[in-house]
Amino acid sequence: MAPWLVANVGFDVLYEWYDLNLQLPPPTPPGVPPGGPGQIPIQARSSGTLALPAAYAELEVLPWRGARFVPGLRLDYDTATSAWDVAPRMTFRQDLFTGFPRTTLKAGAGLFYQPPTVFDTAPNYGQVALVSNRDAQYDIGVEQEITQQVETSLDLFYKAMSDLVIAGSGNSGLGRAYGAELLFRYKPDDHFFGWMSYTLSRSERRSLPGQPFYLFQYDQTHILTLVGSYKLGRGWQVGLRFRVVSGDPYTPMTYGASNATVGSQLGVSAFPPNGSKLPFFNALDARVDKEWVWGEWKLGLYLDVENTYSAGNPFAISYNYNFTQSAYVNGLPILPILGIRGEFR
Amino acid sequence: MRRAPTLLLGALALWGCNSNNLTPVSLVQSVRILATSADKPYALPGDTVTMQVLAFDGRASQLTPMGVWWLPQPCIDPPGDAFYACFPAFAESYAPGVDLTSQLVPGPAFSFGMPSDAIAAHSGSRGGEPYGLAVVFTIACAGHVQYLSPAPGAPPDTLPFGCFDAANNLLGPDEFVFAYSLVYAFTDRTNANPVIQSITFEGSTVDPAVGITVEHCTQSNIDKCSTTALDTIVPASSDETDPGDLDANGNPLKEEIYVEYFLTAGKVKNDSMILYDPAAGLLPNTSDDFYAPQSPGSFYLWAVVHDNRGGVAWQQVPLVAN
Repeated sequence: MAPWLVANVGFDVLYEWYDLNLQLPPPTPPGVPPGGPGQIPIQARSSGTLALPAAYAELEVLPWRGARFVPGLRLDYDTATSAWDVAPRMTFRQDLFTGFPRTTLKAGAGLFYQPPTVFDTAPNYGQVALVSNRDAQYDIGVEQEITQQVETSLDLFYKAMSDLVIAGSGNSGLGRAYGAELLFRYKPDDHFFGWMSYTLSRSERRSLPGQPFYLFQYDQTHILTLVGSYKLGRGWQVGLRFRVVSGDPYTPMTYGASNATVGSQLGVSAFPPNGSKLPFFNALDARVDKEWVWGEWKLGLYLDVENTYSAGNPFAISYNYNFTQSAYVNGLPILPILGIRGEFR
Repeated sequence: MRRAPTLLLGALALWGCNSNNLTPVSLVQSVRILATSADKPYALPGDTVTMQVLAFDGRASQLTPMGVWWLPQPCIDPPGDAFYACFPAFAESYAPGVDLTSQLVPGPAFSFGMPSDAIAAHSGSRGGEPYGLAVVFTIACAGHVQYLSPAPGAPPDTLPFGCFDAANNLLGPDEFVFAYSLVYAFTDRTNANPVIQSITFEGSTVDPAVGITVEHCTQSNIDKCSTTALDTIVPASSDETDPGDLDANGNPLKEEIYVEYFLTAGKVKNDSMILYDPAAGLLPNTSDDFYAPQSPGSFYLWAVVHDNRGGVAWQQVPLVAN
């Protein structure tokens, strides 16, 4: 449109056919246990189509030197809810110093929607009159070049979720997530590239009004990642990745009633959910690549070794039959993967 | 640029799991309720239903004997069919901190009447055949039973009763089991309990009065002991048609029938085995692997057979390890 103004518009459509034939225990909201294995399941059968058409438009505006402003709007329609979702979004960047070392301030805000799943709206099993899950996201940050090769950035973010679909309780759920991410990045040179990031965050949910917020099941308080890759020459390349991540939240169980009809001992889940965490996850992964080039052809061979020192990272809790004993269930030990990849230009 | 598909030649390693040392459900070393049965798993409204319980005290030291009691009134049609939805009403019948022995029905059997409005009072059949539900509660306790007031914010399925010793100390799960049983009411469906024709050991029928005699295993790790085939024979006549379980073409399937094994010493490889599949019928290999006890003595073994509609039967046999 003009050197300082670019418009992007488009549309996308997701259209799918489905046959739903399910027989499941009635869904219960978090903190409400199922009725037990003897409970008669809900049966639901339906067929139909889902159409999710969407249109979007955004402007890339360069209003003055060092500035970039991108306002946008996305419209989504969901045939399952028969409702439109209107999602305005905006990002803004401003270089404070355009030469070296560059300093850039950035900010963003926007609405995002996720429609209910087909299970949420299924006849008999799901619920009626649902609307899309809503998420308002805010981000502010700064980027700073330190050397010609190294730059850093710091981002603060906050997400306010509402209208979350809760089993049996409509769109009663709320959520919030907030935190900060620090990134150091070594831009690729002839031999090396790498980066280190650390994220401190907290993600919480609330199912019903009056209930307390509880940790989201995928909350990860600390995420530290270091990645480095070095080209040795002659097609050889080696890389390392080290990760330390907070353990997943889980809900401790204690002994409960015994269903004597079917022969099953039930546990009692603590409330609010996700009140305990598994131990930290940590792993060092290594990778070696060798590449051969023949004209338009490339052939790559790689060895990827995950969890090189076989850290026994628990990913779940296993209980005995009446929930009076427990043990960690560990993830994979050393996992070597040998791969071959061909490319033709 | 076209990219050829990546070919992975790696191999997956084994999952790590630390749960091997957890006590299996089949090993009875505490106060246990192994099963209950109703003479009419599917009752008609107005029927009298008689329940039986299989309870056993497997504690090594039994300073106080185990007692078995039933709550005198079944809970009819709880909201959502959830057993714990019956719990709030207990506060009207039982006072906390009081020995409830005189208010409970003692013994291995209990009868109740399925209310004539059990089906009509049910809040919804969820698209299937209308039904009613009676939840019957059974308690095994090596002491006396008291009602526990629910703590504020406690999960709704927190146990509403506790087992206390003579000094009024709350006893743990080794001395206490709180169990519930589900008895359904239909107008036009019936279900008979499965029948145990026999238990076989190493291919031979076990006489329930004589039991099984084996040499005890001298290995320190029971998993290294030799195994013997253990099976439970249930006749095909027990595998009834289940009109509530339809295949993809809408034809009714049969019941699923499975057996649980319990023993006071030794081990079975699988705590339970499926005998009849709803579509395939009797499975070709239903035998379990039995590991002999690691010390000589007199023990017990039980086979508890369930169908998936609330039908239950059991057989107890003595187990002697020389």
